[in-house]
Amino acid sequence: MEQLGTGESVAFWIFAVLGVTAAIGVVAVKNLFRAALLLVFCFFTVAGIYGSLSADFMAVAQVLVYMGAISVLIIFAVMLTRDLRHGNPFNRGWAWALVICAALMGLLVFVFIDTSWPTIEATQVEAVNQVGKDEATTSAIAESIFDKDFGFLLPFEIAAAMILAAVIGAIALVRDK
Amino acid sequence: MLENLGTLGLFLAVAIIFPLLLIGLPLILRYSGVIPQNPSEAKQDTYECGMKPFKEAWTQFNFHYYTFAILFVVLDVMSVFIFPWAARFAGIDKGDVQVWERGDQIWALVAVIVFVVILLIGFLYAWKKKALEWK
Repeated sequence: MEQLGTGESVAFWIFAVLGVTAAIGVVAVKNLFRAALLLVFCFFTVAGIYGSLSADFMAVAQVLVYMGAISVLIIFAVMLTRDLRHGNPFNRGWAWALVICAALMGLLVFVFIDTSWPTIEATQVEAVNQVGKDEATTSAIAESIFDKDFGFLLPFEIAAAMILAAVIGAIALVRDK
Repeated sequence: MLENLGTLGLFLAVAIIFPLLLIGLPLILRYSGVIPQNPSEAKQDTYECGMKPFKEAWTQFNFHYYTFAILFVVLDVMSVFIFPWAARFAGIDKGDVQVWERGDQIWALVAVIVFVVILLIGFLYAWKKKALEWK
């Protein structure tokens, strides 16, 4: 966190607070459609956090995929349900849900604290800054995907196969019998 | 790079302030008594001019829309994967980074063609199963 400048820190905290607020709203709001819109806003704040961490490609991908596509999917799914204004009902399972969620959160916090996060040395920070700080990361991502010797070409093509499976699965599920 | 995002932030601020202004200005004028309030049925209508609304806007969507939404998500993800390649291939954001050499360029081109061909199979499948047609 200390490598961030003041501007980035301010942006990070604004987006973080807004994001958490929106996420609480998604759960608390009764109208499902409004909950979906709050979720879209939450996606946007995550994009903002990526931006404040200098991950510009991630931010744009987040806006494009999550705000552009996933939100359309979620809103369509919400509009397919009948009683959307009575949605998000509370039932007697909430106590169990609370226990399980608290346990899950405890586990996540434990993992966060227990993991030894790899940090880079000061000299390396300088080197990274020289290459990466002032330019967009898109080229660097392309470089690491398509490099002949140590690129990630196989995962890239496997992603295509996965998307293909998603298309065929979606059509097979929705198509009239 | 962050300076560019700063410009984006400025744009964002304007984009937030502008609609707030458009909504807030009539409210302020209304409550400060500048604008008189004589509500009538026509004024309270959803559309003051145009077709008369005849039922609620909250209706169930036709589930056929869902196929299109899923196909859209898929093609969107594909565009995200292709974008870095395109930016690098054309050297759009190169700065002082060199554009690929010939061999690397062809290598990357072949990789992306394989990627697109795999996805085209899905598209042809959708076409053949008439998922793109509206019934």
